[in-house]
Amino acid sequence: MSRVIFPEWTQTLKKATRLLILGAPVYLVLLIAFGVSDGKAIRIGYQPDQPVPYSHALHAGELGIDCRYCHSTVERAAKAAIPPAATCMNCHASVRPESPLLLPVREAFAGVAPVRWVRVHDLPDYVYFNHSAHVTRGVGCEQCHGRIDRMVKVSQEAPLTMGWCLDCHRNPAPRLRRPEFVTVMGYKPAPGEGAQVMKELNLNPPTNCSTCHR
Amino acid sequence: MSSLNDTNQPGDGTWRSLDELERGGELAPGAEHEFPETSADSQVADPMSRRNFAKLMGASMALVGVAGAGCKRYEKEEIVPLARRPEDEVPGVPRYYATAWDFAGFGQALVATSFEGRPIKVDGNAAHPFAGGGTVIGTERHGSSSPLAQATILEMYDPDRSRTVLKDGAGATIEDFRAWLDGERANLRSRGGRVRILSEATSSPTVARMRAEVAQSLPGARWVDWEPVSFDNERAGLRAAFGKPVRPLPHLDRARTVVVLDGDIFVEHPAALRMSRDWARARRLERSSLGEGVMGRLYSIESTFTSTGAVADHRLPLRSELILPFAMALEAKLSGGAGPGAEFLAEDKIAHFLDVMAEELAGNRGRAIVIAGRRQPAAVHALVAKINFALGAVGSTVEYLEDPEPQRPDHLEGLVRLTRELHDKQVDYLFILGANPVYDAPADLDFAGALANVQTSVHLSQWEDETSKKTTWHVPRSHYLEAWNDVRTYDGTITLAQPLIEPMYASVSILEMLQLLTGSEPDGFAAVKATFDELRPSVTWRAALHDGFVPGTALPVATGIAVNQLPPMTLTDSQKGGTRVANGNLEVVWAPSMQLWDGRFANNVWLQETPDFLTKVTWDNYAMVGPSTAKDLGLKNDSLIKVKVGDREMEVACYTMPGQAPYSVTLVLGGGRTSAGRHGGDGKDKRGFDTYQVRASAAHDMAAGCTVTATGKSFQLASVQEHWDIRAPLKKDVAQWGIKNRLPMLVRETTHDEIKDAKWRAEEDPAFPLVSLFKEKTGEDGYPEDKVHAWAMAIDLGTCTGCNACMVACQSENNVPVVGKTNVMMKREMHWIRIDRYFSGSPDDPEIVHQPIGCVHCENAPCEQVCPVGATLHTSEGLNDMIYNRCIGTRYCLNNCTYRVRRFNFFDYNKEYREARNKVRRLLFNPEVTVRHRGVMEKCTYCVQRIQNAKINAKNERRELVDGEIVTACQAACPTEAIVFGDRNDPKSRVRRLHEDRRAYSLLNDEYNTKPRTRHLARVRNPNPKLESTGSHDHRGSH
Repeated sequence: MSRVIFPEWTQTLKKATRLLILGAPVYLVLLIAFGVSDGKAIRIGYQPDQPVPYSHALHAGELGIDCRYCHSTVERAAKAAIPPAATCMNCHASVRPESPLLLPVREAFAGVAPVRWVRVHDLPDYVYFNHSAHVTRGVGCEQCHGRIDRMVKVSQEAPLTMGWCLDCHRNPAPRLRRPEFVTVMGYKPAPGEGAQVMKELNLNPPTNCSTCHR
Repeated sequence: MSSLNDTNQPGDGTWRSLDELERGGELAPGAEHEFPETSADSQVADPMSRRNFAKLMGASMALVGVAGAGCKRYEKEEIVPLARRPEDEVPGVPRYYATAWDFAGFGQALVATSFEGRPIKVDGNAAHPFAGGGTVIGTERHGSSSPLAQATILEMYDPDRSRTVLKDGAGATIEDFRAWLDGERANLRSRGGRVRILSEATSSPTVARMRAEVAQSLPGARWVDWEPVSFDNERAGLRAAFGKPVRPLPHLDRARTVVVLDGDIFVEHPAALRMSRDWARARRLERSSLGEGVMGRLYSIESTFTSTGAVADHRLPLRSELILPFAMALEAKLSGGAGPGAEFLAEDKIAHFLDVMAEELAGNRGRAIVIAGRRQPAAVHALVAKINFALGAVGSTVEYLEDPEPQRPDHLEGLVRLTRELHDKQVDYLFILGANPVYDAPADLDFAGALANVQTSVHLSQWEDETSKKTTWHVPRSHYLEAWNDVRTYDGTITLAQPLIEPMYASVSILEMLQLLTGSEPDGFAAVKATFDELRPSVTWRAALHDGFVPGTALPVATGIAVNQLPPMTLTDSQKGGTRVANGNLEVVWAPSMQLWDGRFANNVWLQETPDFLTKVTWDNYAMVGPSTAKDLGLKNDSLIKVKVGDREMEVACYTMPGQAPYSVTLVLGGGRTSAGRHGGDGKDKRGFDTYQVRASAAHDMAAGCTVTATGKSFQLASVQEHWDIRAPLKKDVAQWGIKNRLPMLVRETTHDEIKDAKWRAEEDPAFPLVSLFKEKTGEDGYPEDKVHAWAMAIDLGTCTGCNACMVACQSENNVPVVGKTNVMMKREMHWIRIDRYFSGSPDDPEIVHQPIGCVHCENAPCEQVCPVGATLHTSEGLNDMIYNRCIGTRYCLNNCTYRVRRFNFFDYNKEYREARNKVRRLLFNPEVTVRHRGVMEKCTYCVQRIQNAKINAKNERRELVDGEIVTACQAACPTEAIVFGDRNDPKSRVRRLHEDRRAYSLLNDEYNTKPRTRHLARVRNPNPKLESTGSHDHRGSH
């Protein structure tokens, strides 16, 4: 028996196989570079420009204004509510009333055009997050938003992924504090404080799907 | 059709459709499949064929490679806060406002939900003295709403709504119209006698006041009210009986015996919600199981099957025209006089029925009531008033209230006179407010032709409809949630209608149009407020607005009324004859569609796709013929028949309806619109049949001497009656015996007598221990009573009237898509809750059993076991969650669902709302519920969004949840509180009590051990022992 004679077309197959083998590393590199990224939702460090260069570092940090002065609905509603221009004007009617940086706010207040803020912390539309359910149970603002009091321009601090949410829902105690201190930045809970809060408020953070997805 | 006769034996079990009965009890071919097998010709036209899909996929794969940018963030999103937030406004938290809807001349008290300024849902006003109140006295107040009211919210966002003023069909502005009106003002005034205003019926006191102003500014102008589905026969009859028009207000909760003559008191009647609740009160005794006290009994004598007939303890199918002699005979029996001596009254069954019923009525003096339907002539209503007087019902089970507008001519009479004037060219200016007479006026009047004789006509309408096309001016009308108004509910209570939103288009309301007419600035608020101030009410404006009504404004009870001597009544030959008549002497009656009413809801896709409770037909209207009549005349289901009434004839789809009175044909109104919109018929796409074509003013509600012939043409109606048949999965193993014997287990029933035995229970202990193939949740993994909530539902079959309010409410709350007729025919309807309806007994006089069913949230859920991707999972509180984002659309879960309650998105049913023109429709979506995309399963969630929000709020306020705090959408809409939701782990909760009731049973649990969280409560019938059950098949035993 002489050697096996392969049909003609296997020559093409051979070429194709070679190409595949050569191409594999390139494909893998591309796959890792683009495919295995941190995903759509994860964008730690996302820091868009805002129409008004509002500085949380100045207002919340230096001046020490409580978060709830502006985000007044946070304890009652799902949304923490970006404040209306009227809230800004409570102070800015007399503080720097002529500042060109505040022009959009004054215009909004005068009814010319509303301020179009850019959303930093964006969850998918099928996620129903409720601020009040967390703030009134002792989850501090900084737990998710980071040290807002140090941010001149707000950026996203936490990954805001489902896994990250569940980490806390499964083990909430270390991340809890007395609800009266939720807006305090850099708060150091006392040992056992979280467990105590859980007991007092009868907290039992659910991990059911429909807790967040409806 | 011979097989029909063969199986037409009493005691043959139950069936869902005549087809099934014909097949000898075999279920529909393919019933064991959730969806029909797909074949080339059954494919719904879709550009995305499998081959194209593959091509595109290949191309898009390549594109992904090119674009490559995997780590993109979501689109940039903006947050645009208000410049000044109103006090108490919390973004993202819905607010509720009392308002009202004027429907066909009777107000409906509602509460609208507003989400960030846009209304998204309506419900009944629980605080309203007439519309509110629970079926169980002393429990939480409850406000219910009709399916029509629920669906009105969709009309506001209907992309087909008229958006601009039209003059002679060309675009104009409201300023042009006002300029024209100002220019004509002198003419209008000087020729006031040649001005007519044709309005839809309205109960608004402000409109009544404005009418006087119009009469002053346009001297001689006349006002005509028009409703094609009118309750004026009753008004005319009572006027004849008492000398003045009065409005009867039945109190069914005080009645032991209720007799309804050819009417529907639970869906059609303007006080239907109130009557449903009152009736349910007399049927249900909380704490103890239903029926241990004294339970009311309901008789229904009717030609067309209605909700009333379906829940009646005894039903007698009888041609509508025979009701007059029947009522005369009843009156004679009660007063001891001589009956009319009609031939049919001597027929055994009817004579016996009448005897027993009359005896019971006579034995329940002061606790009985007779109600006649709107279709019946004035003579019957007068006679019924006389009977009620004789029964001592007046002041007890019925009150006669003063008519709010005693001088108003009856609708038909007014329109006939107006049309004559139009034909005689006596009218120069015609203002049509809301009504659509070109479509719905009696055919003999030729309203469209008459309209051409008018110099200038103006039509105020929410759509550019048939009438708008024929008038000089068309002015868009504001939706009721866009304008100020006030209405009177059936009892007369003045109810304020406040707008929830500024008009979206340049539209005006009826009130504002009247203001324009009198030359004042359109300001609905000022007009309503002025009426309110004139009342000198005991409450402030703000309080009345908050509560939605002005207390103490109900119509006074008419005093000093006595029945006049009634004129002698003459009977026609057919009324003197028997129940059997020849073709050519058939009776035709017109019935409003329970979805489309008189046709005004034709473009409302929610209602178009809501299956009629009894026929289960969607998307079309039809003629109903009884089975034996159909056989006699050679008519077939799903075919076109020719109906000849007088000298007019039309072709219409035939639906053979079990229980339809022999030789009576019901033409359902509301179809065949030519200018309703893209979904309701726009001249190109036909939707249903215009049954007004054969409706003449002389025989407006029923006509005798009609002929019906088959045409041989077929017309497929989209009936869902054989869809989602939960008997089907049982079929293979248990064979024919099983199917026949299964129904009593699915829908359990008992009688008032049976339940008196304290040992009776709807559910017996299983004969052998229930085991599960799957790991059951027990112990700590289970649902420990002290730890968590256990959400559960109870559905009372005893008080469900099948009004469909739950279906539409669910659609509205949960963004349930509409799929269209073609898809419905492929079993693809998406309703999360359906009402299964079964017949039993003989096809011509069947009994109906029915059962609302949504996802029952099994504790051992079969669907969860088969999902390959974990897209349906259980929560610690017992909810069977559906996770849309995980779902890959294998449909295994539906395949394994014992109850067939899962629904699959075959297409992106919300696609059209992304088109610029239809974007407005997106404003209606409930933002609390995900809008599902193509290829995922969905099903009832027990309104999980409401559960979560209630839980969060309670905990925010550091308190426990209160029973009754969470109300599901279906529960809120239900007029009889047949649906109760709550926490089964709360020992004091209502749902717990109902679950422990003797009537409670778990559907199919003893076979599948699914442990459903929804338990049904067996229906209790209360038959008169002297009468055989109407359906001769006895299936009442619990097992």
